[in-house]
Parts: sequence; structure tokens; C-alpha cells
Amino acid sequence: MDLIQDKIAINGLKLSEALIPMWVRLPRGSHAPVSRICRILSEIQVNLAYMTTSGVGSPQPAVCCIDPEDHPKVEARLAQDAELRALVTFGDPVGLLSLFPHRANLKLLGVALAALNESGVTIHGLASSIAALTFIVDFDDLEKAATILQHSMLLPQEHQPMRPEFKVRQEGISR
Amino acid sequence: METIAVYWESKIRTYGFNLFEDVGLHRIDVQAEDLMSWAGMLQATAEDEAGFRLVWCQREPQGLITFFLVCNDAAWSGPSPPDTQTPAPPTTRTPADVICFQGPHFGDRYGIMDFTYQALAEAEVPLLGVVCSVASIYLVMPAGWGGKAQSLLKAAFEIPKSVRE
Repeated sequence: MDLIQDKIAINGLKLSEALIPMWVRLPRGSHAPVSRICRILSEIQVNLAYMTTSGVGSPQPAVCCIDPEDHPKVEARLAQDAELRALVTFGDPVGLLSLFPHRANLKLLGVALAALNESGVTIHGLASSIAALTFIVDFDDLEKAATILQHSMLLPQEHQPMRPEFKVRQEGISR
Repeated sequence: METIAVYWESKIRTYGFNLFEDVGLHRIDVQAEDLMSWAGMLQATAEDEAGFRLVWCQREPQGLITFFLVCNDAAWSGPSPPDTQTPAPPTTRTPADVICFQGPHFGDRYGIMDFTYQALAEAEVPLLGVVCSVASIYLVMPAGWGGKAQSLLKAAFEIPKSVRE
């Protein structure tokens, strides 16, 4: 198969801090457990940095990512709900690698998938947002994955991946 | 890491809701060893095809990687193997509506998705997929549900006057 040789231009890459992945098993056609998880996280003021769920075809777990600092209080809160806790599996630290803009470009998706896979980086998940395409990879592979995409895409000269510099803390919301 | 921004609002604000009706939600099951083949099919997509509205994927421990592609039917109708020797990955298409929205510091703040689920609970809106990535939230539902879901969300969230205009 002839693959695209010309590099696709993007504007930048962004790396997250380490995050803890949570997989939430869902029964076919039901979002109830993940809805309950979101309620609990809201009650204990824990942000979801990333989440995907799917309810088409055979059931798949929802994927959620939280700050490692919040992991102990999430574990403690889930320990109070044995039924829900049984549906949740925590994983080793992951990182989010976002490239932007994706321009809804299927070729770009293919190039990024091929480059990461060819280099042995395990892609645990991906999701688009309005402008960015974000990959979940093992945190130990995050820098390597960023380097791979830098070499696979056409980036502005002197580009350096963006890294988080501050956190936003929310005081409260009303209903 | 230093916390330098503190956020509070009486009602969660968004920049408005985008509704895409009657699009195709494609589920594509790809074995890990076939990922390069699938990536090649994506790279071979014709230049004039418009691309995706939304894409997400999840890898299962057993190695199956499931991709979900939301596209207009005119833009993409399914995987195209390059030759007869290359099998197309198993694919299903479901007619769907998609709502996309974002707001100030979505992605950094707790409670947004819970608020969204509560807003939709009244009408028991069935969800085929939810994606929260960066500052965007996408809700995928069976075709025909988008209008109802959008009404519920508009009633629950605040859309600043400057955005509405």
C-alpha cells in the first residue's frame, strides 16, 4: 500500500501530567454506572481530565482519567459502594498527548496511529475535541510518543511541546 | 504544580451547543496486529473527503481496539481496503445525532459531566457514546434524539448573552 510521504502540517503538541486511568464496566446499553461515577466524583470535587464511553455493539468499559492526587479519595469513596467498586479497575499512570489542529483529517489520524504503533507505543485510547486529537499512552512513553509525532508531522520551526504550567481549582457549582 | 486560577460560577456556562443530525456512527473493530493495516486505510483516504465529526477509540486488554468514527455519509462511508487480499475490519453503522459543546475551563473543573447527565436524565436520553477531551464534550445519541437533548441542555446550562447573539 502506498502511504502518504508528505508530512501533514500541524501547529503544536501538548503533553499532560501523569494521570490515573479508571475503566468502568458498563452493562449493554446502560450508562448508569458511569453516571453514578460522575456523581461521586462531583460530590468529592474530583475532575475528569478525559472520558470516553460507548454503547454500540458489545459492551465496552468507560475510560476515565483522574489526577493521581485525587486517586486515594476516589478509592476511599468507592469503597463505600461495593457494587460500583466491583465495576471499576484502576491502571498504571498514563499521559495524554494532544496534537492540534486535527482539521477532521482522517489521513492525519492514520499517520499518527501508524507512527506511534510502528515505534512500539501502546495507544490505550484516543479522542478528538473540537481542534485537538488526544492519545492516551503509558506515562513512561509520553515523551517518546511526543518525539515520534514531532518527527511524523510538519511543525513550526523551534516548536516545543506545551506542558501544563498551572491548575485551575473550582470552588463550587450550584444546581 | 501551582494553582493560580480559582473558578466559581453560579450556573455552568457554555459557549453554546452544536447539533449534528443524522450522521453515521461507525464502530470499527481492529485487532492490535491489524492496526497498521487500518492506519494505512485511513492514510489512503481520498483528498476530497471531508473527514470526521468525532473520533474516539478504546483498547481492550485482550488486544481488540475499537474505533468510533462519526462522519457525514457523504464524507466517509466505511473502510476501503486497498486490494482484495486485505480484509476490511468489521464495521457497523448506526444513524446518530451528535451534540458538541464546550465552556470556560471545561476539562479542568469537576462536575460538568455529572451536571450534563442530570440534565439529560429527565427524558432518559439514550447515549451511544460520550467523549470528554480537552475542553469539549460530545454526546452521541440515536438519530432523532438530538433536538430533545439540546433543549434539555439549553435549559440547564447558561449561555451568556454575548454568545447567544
